[in-house]
Formats: sequence, structure tokens, C-alpha cells
Amino acid sequence: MEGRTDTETKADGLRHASSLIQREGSRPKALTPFASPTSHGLALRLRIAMMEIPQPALALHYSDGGSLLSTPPPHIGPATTPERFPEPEDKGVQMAQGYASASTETTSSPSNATITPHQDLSFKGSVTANGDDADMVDVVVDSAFEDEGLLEFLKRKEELALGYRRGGFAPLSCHDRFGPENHLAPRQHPARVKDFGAAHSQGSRVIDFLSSTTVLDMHHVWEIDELVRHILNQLDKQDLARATRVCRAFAQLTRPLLWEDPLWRQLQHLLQPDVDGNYPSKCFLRNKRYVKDIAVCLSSNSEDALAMTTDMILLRGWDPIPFSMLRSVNLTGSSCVHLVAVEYIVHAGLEQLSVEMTDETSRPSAFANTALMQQRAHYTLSFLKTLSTVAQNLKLLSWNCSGWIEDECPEVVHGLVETIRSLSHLETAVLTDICDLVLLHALSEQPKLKNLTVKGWSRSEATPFLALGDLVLSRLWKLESLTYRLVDDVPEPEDDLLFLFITVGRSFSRLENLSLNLLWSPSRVGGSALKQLTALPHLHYLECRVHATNDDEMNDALLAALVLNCPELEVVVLHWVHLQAVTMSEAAAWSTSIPCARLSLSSLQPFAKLIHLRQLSFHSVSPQFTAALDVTRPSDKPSYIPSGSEPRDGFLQLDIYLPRILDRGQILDLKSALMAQDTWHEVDEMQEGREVCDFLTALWPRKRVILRIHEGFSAIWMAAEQLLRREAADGMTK
Amino acid sequence: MVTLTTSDNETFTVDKKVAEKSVLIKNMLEDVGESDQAIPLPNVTASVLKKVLEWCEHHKDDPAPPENEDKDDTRKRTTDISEWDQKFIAVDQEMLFEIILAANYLDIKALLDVGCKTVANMIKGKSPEEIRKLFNIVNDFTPEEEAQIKKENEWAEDR
Repeated sequence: MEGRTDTETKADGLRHASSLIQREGSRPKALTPFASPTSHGLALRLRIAMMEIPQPALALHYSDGGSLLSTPPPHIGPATTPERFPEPEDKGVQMAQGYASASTETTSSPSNATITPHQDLSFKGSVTANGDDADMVDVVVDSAFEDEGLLEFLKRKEELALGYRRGGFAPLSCHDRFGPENHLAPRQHPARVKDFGAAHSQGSRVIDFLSSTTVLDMHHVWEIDELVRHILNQLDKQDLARATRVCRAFAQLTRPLLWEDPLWRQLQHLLQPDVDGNYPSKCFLRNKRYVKDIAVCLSSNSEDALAMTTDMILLRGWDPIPFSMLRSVNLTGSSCVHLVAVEYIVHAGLEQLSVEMTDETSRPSAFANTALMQQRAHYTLSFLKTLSTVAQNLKLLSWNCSGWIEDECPEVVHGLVETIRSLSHLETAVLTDICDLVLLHALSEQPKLKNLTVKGWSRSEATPFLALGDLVLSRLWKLESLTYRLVDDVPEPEDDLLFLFITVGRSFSRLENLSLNLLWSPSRVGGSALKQLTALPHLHYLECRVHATNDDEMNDALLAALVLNCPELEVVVLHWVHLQAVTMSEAAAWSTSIPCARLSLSSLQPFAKLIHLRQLSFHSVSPQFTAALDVTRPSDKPSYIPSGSEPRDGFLQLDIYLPRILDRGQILDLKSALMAQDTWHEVDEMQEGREVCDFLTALWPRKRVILRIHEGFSAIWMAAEQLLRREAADGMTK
Repeated sequence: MVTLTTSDNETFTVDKKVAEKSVLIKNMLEDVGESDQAIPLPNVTASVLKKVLEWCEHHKDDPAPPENEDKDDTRKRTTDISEWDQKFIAVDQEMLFEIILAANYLDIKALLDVGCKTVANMIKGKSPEEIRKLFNIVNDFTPEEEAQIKKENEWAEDR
């Protein structure tokens, strides 16, 4: 041992230990494999720093008397730090698991520390030794075999540079957690005490470091993967990315969350060759199994589409199913050319597919040349054929192709019909800009269809309601959700509504969600039609977005007229005892430059009788909802008191959507300008909120009101309105 | 009324409706039927159970969450907590974690959500080192490993 440095000695000691472990076999026959520690259990970790120990730092004995490391190491070598993150195939770690006994006593000086045999201590655990970077040995004691005596012993030895922790992520559990494919699995570096690496690099004494380190308790909630996952689940991508670097256990839990729903452009970036020239990069290969949901949102230029297709072909050549866990593909704003690329990742496990082709290549046939029309028809047909043969487990299909299919390609419509017929597991269908009767027939044959959304212009000669009523509604008795949006101006809205509602009411006893988005003048909507919906006892959600014409704006007066025109409304409202959400949309006159109060909180009064109401969305273009409070407040005594036996909801969430202003910079500029002209008045939004809450509490006295105001820039709007009024008045004067 | 006994042998008598906010207790009551016997809760101490019952009392009239909410495994990534719950959960870290554990044990999903969202809010915007320091988590990465992970996940931070 003469002439050898401490570092050389300890490195050699570990190497020798490794060789002994290997020679004995990674799991000596005398050893009894012990159970993996549970995440709930106590993990006790004993760290013994080797770098300061010239003599064999740790004597480990098998229970059958065999010695693991008891003699000075024969070879000396410098400790090295690996340049790269260890890959799964790295073989730098040897482990021994089983019974061991440690005999230690430490005497320390500022420059040295010696551990000599002192007391036998038996426990079950694992030892991780590393020949390349042998700074320390981790001895992990399995919680299932925890020994009070051992705990006490360790506590007494704390001042002797034996750091221990109760709780914390046990290295042992990391071995269990990290699968063989995981690049963190072979723990080339044992877990270190906080800042240990820095202390090491500075050459300070480990004993000094350890004795001066306060080892704090980490709460054992962090050992329960389910709970940690639940916490991490609440984080957005940025925070998740940061959390990945906290520790190995976090990394393992955050990785699936981080990778589950990437954008395609992010994956494309990761597909590029890495520094070692690997294509796809090892990072991509390690993590692609976590990808469940891919959103493709690219520009429609041909280079992007070509690059995507090339990547897909290369990926497919490397692996027939590049994303084995892929469940959902969302293709938005793209061209039909992207369908070629997506075709390569379609597989039998795919459950959701959303295709939205709204770019310039999807323009109507009147504006498209023949080549483009042929190309998109060809690509789309090929894609649909793949879907019908490969992705038969599809549960959700959303198809939006800007209407060109129906315009020009009966063969593509036929392909879509055949595809829908082949998807026997289809539960949700969303069809936009296509309203073909044969297609509706095909949908009506789907035995599992629960949610149907039809949007767009009707090109059928029959009225859309008749078509829907005849062909679809009567057959889909399992339908739970229907969204029907047609923007045709209906000549006889009352009759059509009546027919539609009668059909809906009679056909769907299970309907829970009804969303109607129609271009009707609300003044023409009669209560007799609405009354038909009382036949839907399970209705939970009703959204009736009435897009007013230019002449009609949705305002209090109009709503009052609607109520007046519909004396049954109160009865209807009371009939839906399960109704939980109502959305009112003040959608008209969006582009009006001067916002003015139209729809106010007084509109909410009819809904006060919905005792089960849990969510009320209030889309308003009027910024000042306090103005709406100038209505007769409901009396303190509630108009409807549920009996004691009747179940009641405990809260009501009100979402108020105020005008959306996207550019915050513009707002600040506007604010400055308004302040300069002395038209700016600070508005106490908290006070506003409180007043609204008071109003709602008076309406629903037995509910706790949760008020959420979105895009609340009411002060800006109010000031802008004042300014504009003043300018208008000045103009009149001049 | 239902009687509950904590791990430190304290007894709480609460309204059945309050106790049944816990799915565990609800199931036990359904299994056992009407009984005067106290329900032992060996994993919950009195101080924690007191807090949990305070939450249950306040939320006893809340409707049960929709069934499909459990089936949906998509992340919500929202950390909105009602004002009352925020005040309720404004406790020291030890108690916060104990409430989470108790909510998990007693199977009170809404309370578990509140606790986990609170912890998530504590994590938000913090660097890895700050998170470690906040929760006393040991960094078991080497600097090289940490740097590599950071590089690998840069794409997510750009999102």
C-alpha cells in the first residue's frame, strides 16, 4: 500500500469489490432474495464514503461466512467520471443483494478517516459498487427488514460520517422503477447526498462534509408514486420539464407525462440525428413509447409536408409501428398531403382521429385546379382505405375537409361512408361541412355511437332537420350527446324547430347533452318547440346558441321577449331537474366597435329555479356586468325551497366571459392613452366580483357561488367607451 | 352518526353524511351496516382527521363528481382552488402532506385534488434546485446527467 494515494486505494478497493461480486455471482446462492421495497415503506439508506478511507472501508460478509471485501485492493487507479450519460447497455454496475454484515468504526481527523471493525451489524439489503467512479458505496436496507437496532445504531453513528436518511427515494427502488430500456436504469453513480459532488470536486474532506451536512427529512409522500404522479399531473409542460431534473424518481414519473402529447414539430426536432450521429436520436428512441397523442399542426407548404412524409417513411422503415402506444392523432390546419404522412403511423391501437383540412389546398372546387382536385381525392381515398383496414378500433372520428369532398368527389364520400361502416367501435363522430344523406345513414347504423356532431352548410335539398330526423335520429337510441349546427337560414324556423325537437324528444331518451347552434332569430323561436324537449328526462347540458341576424342582437329586451313568447319556459326549465350547465352566448354584433350593455345578469333569473345547476357560462360582449345589477334583486326568501329529502347541489360555478383582448401590449398602450385624456378610472374588479357574487347568492341562496371571470379588462372597455362617447359628443358639437 | 377512532386512540363522532365523503368509510358502513361500533382509522392521527373532517363538513353538500371524470386520464393541468379550500389548506408542509396521505387513504378524491394542486402550485415556476430545497429532495443525478436531461427536454420548455 506504500506510495499509493487515497484516491487510488479507494478506487481500487471498489474495483476489487466489483470483481469479487462478479466472481461470486450477482446473487450469491447463499443469499435470499428480498422483497422490493414498497413505495410506502421506510427506506433506509446508509452511505459510506470511501474516498477518505485508505483501508478497506467496508467489510461485507455473507451470512454463510463468505467475505465480500476484506483485504486491501491490489490495484490502484484514478477515479473517472463518465463523459456521457450511461446508456442501457452500459455494464458499469455490479450489484450484490442479500444478507450482509457491516462492521465499522470511524476515527476521523481533518485529513483522514479510518473505519475499523467495531461491531457486527446484520441486515438485508443491496450494495452498489462501481468500478469507474467509486466514490462511495450505497448500502440499502430494505424497509421490509428494517431493524430497530440498526436504526438506533445508525443514529448513533451519524456523527461518524454515516449519513442516513429516513424516507427519500431509495436507490433500491430506482432499480425496480427503471425498466431495462430506461437510460437511467444502470445507476452508474450512486445517489449522492446533496452537494456531495461539489464537495468532492473541491477535494474537501468527505467526513467534514458529511458531518456538516444537515440531512433533512423528506416527507414520505414523495415515495408514493401514485401521489407524486397526481401532483405532477397538475403541472404544465414547462414545469414538468423542470421537475424532470429534480431527481431520478421525478424523472421517471414525469417522462410519460412530458412525452404523452407532443406536437409533431417537436418530435421532428427530436428525430434529427444526435451528436453521435444516431438517427433517430437515442433520446427519441427512449421516449417514443410514451407518445399517446400527436398533434400535427404544420404549415401547408409542400416542404413541410414532404419532410413529415420522409420522416414517417424512415421511421416506418426502422419500426413498423413507430408509436406503439399512440392513441390519438390530431391533424389541424393541414393539407391533404399530410394525410400521406399520417397514414404511416396509423395502427390498430388508434382510438381517436381528428382531421381538419382547412388550408389552401382544401379550397372549394371552384377555386382549385384539376391537378389539385385529383391529388387530394387520391390521397384522401388512400388514407380512408388505410383507416378502414387498419384502424378498426377507432372510437372517435372527426372529419373536416372544408366541404370539397361533397362538392366534387362522390367517390371520396363513398370512401368515407365505407370507412364509417367499417368502424364498428365508433362512439363519437364529428362531421363538419359535410351533410350527405348516405353518410347520415351510415352513422345511424353505428351500434355504439353515443356522440354525434353535425356542423356546416346543408346541401341537401330536403331541409336538414327532415334529413336528420328521418335518417338518423330514430335509430340512434343510445345517443347521449347531440351537437347540431347548421348555419342555413331556415325559412320556417318555428316549424323546423318543432319537428326537430319532437324528433329529438321522442328518439333519445338517454340524451344528456344537447347543443344546438343555429342561425335563427331568437324572436322567432317559440316555446312550443322548446317544450318538446321536456321529453328528455336525462338532459344534463343544454346549449342553445342562437346566432342572431344583423337586425337582432341578443340582449335583455330580446331575452325578455323570448321569455314572453315562451310562457312555457319556466315549466321547461323546471322540468330539467338534472340540468347542470347552461351557456348563454351574446354572439351577435361581435364586430361592433363600441360595446354596450346588452345581455345582463338579470337574464339569469329564470335559471334560479334550476336547483341542480352547477355551471353557468355567460358569454358577454358587454364589459360592465355591474350595470346589469341595477335590476330588482330577488327577495331574500328563495322562490323555491327544496324539501329536506330532495338532493341539492352545494355550489354553482359561474363563468363570465368578457370580451377577449389578445394583445396585452395594445391594452397597455390604450390604458396610457386613456389616462392621458383623463378618461381612465380604476375599477375595483374585486368589488365588482363581490357584487356579482352577492347577486347570485341572492338568486341561489343555498349554493356557494364560485365566480370565474375570464378576460376581465372591464376597466379598459369602460374607459374606451367613455372616450368614444366624448369624441362623438365633440363631433356633434363641432 | 358515525364514530371514528384515530391511530392515537382519539374518537370523533360525526354526521354520517360528513363521514361518507370518504369512500373508504362509506364502503365500510355499507359492508357493516348499522352499527354503534367505532370505525378504526389506524393510518390517520387525530390532528389530521380533525382537518379532514372540517373539509368534509364544509363540502358535505357538494355533488359527487361525474363518473366519467375518473375514467378520463387526461391531465387537467389546472390548479384552480376555491377560496375556502385555499384557506383550509394553508397549513404547514407536514400537515399538508399528512392531509394528502389521509385523503388518499380515506379515498376522498376532491380533497386529494386540493392537496395535490396545492403542492403543484408550490412547484410551479421553480427551478429543480428550488424544488429540492423546498421539499428536501436529494439530487441523485450527477451534473452530467442533469445537464443531459435538461438538453433532452428543452423542446418541452419551448412549448
